[in-house]
Amino acid sequence: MPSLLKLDNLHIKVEGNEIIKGLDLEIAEGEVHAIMGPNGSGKSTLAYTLMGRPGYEVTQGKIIFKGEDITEMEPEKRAQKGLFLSFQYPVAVPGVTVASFLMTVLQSLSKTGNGRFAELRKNFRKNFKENMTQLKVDPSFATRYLNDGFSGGEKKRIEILQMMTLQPQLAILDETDSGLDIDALKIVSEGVSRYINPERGVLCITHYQRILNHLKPDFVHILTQGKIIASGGPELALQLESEGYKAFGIVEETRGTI
Amino acid sequence: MKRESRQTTGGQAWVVNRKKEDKKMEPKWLTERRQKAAEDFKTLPLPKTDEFWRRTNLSRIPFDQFEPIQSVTNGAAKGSASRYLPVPMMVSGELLYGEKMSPATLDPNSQKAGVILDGLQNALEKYPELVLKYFGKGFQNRHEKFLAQNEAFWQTGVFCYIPKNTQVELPILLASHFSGGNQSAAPRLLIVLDKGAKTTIVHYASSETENDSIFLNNVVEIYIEEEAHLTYIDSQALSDQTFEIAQKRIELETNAKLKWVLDIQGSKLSKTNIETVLKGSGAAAEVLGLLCGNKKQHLELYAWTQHAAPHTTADILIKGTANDAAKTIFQGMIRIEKAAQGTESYMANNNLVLSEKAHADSIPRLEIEADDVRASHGATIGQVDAEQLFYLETRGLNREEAEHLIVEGFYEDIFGRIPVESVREVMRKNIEKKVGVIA
Ligand SMILES: Nc1ncnc2c1ncn2[C@@H]1O[C@H](COP(=O)(O)OP(=O)(O)OP(=O)(O)O)[C@@H](O)[C@H]1O
Ligand SMILES: [Mg+2]
Repeated sequence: MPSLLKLDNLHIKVEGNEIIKGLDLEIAEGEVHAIMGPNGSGKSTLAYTLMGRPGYEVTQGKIIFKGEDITEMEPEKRAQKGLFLSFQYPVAVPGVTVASFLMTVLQSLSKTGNGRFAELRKNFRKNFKENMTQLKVDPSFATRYLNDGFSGGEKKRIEILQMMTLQPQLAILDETDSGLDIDALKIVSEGVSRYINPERGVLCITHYQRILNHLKPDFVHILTQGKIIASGGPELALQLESEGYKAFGIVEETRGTI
Repeated sequence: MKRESRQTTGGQAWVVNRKKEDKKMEPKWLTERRQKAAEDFKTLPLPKTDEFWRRTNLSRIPFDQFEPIQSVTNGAAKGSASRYLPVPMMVSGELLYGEKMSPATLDPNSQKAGVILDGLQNALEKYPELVLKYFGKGFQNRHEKFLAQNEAFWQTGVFCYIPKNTQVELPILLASHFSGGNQSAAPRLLIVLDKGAKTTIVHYASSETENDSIFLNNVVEIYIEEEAHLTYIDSQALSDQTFEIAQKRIELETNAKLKWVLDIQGSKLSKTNIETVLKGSGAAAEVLGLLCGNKKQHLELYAWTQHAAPHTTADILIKGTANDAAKTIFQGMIRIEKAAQGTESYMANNNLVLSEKAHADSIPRLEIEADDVRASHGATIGQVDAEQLFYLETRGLNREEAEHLIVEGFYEDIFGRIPVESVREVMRKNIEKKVGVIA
């Protein structure tokens, strides 16, 4: 399987503090990876860095996406290449409706000459409506301002709606399951499952086993203090769920604060 | 030394120029008024230290560099006004004034109803009584430098009158235009809605400059009689070498209604003072303003709202964005007189500063003499949030596009309250030019 994402001894500094301290990870097309880890272990830091957040500095190692070094690339270029992040804390943009926002994004993306986006733009109305129905998002959300006054769960659902609209090749889901009620979790997971195909990958950051029941990850990684300390199959998540982090030698004191 | 003393006059050439003009035919009362005002203009100092002027440095205006234009009554063809709008607009009538004036066009219904749309000079000849009843009515005994300058020397202007109980469906378009040549002008606008009249008037001011500049002293007076409703769109897209000082006053009689949209985007320096006077009980004004500055623009809006009668309401929302090294200033004053019981008055000013060198100031004030009132004011000055930008960028928008989207969103609550789609488009088009462009 061709490689989608490859991280080789990645080190990340945020405001002078090293948060990720030598991380290796490879995701191939068609694979679902889960990253679990205590609060403050660096999961969101990794996700932000993969998207090119200003101030998140890669001090060692590289981010290779589809064979290309994107370590220094602007966030919008990464989006053009097919990377997507579902934010742990989606940001509100008052005055900009969900529908016009996504249309603007597709317009801008199709200007890059990528026929894939031109196609998505052409079919936007139809796809958008279908995706809303699938995710059981009330049609009124199309004309509501992006994340403005949305509940925690609503925001997460709209993140996945955005993912389904933009059809990225690698979707990073940063705790998309947190804040979703049980029914919503099922609906969102089904949405993500439907999105997965042999050319696409998912990096699912989560604290809970439940979403993994739906997504059926090929690999589970445990991240603590900026390093992956264990990797394995879905059984790792089950073990974590029943035994907690101490089964992996992580004690309370070494965790970050919640 | 001589140069300095001339500086404080606000442009000596005006006085000299006027002497030639006085020889022209004008009603005697007008000539007398002009001469009286000219005396005021000559003797009054530039308003430097006055609280409401001190935030705009008037010495940035090279007053003596400009040559005042002569009286303008023709020069442009019918239908010229709409040519200056960046998007087409369906109108029921239009008139261009400024350095050239076009004949007015009016649809047959409005003509039949007796709507008047004409150059101010023509109107003075044709409808002297009607014009005299209103001309300068709201600005009596003011003795202010720039009001006096306009009163003494105005050379171009419009008179628009909507008769009793007349409803004009489509907007009436008034456009003013000036093109460079270091010229200066004092345009004057007089609009009257008689009892029960209803209309929308769109005013669009534009100018062009290259290596030269323009100075404009605009005076606008609008009278809305009992039960009349006016939507006044006041859009300004002056060139970045134009200096503008404007005094605009709207008076509302009993149960009159006003929606005033101020769109201030152009000029190198603009100092606009607006006066909303709720004179009759039950009068209601909604004032929406947008100040969009970039480069080294200095844009100041001073909004004065006076509640002089009971049960009047005012709802004022002014939003500003400052990009590059621009400066926007909002000063607001709500004055509620003793007689204005049962009044409601709200004023909000929100600003977004888009770059490190840009600057926004906000000074809202309240003066309340009555006791049965509901009034509030609030102001915010914020920056574009780095989180917001990153979030939008991760979806595929570049920095400029993301910023532009945030700015559009910021202005959305104003756009949502503008009733004419083509007006929203005009404003959006002009904003695009200043804060990035989206497809
Ligand atoms: N701007 C910053 N300056 C300094 N430290 C930071 C900054 N941003 C994050 N950190 C620190 O980096 C560490 C990792 O944070 P991160 O958000 O990546 O954790 P996480 O694994 O996503 O946690 P959670 O499960 O709570 O979401 C934390 O200790 C956090 O305080
Ligand atoms: Mg996190």
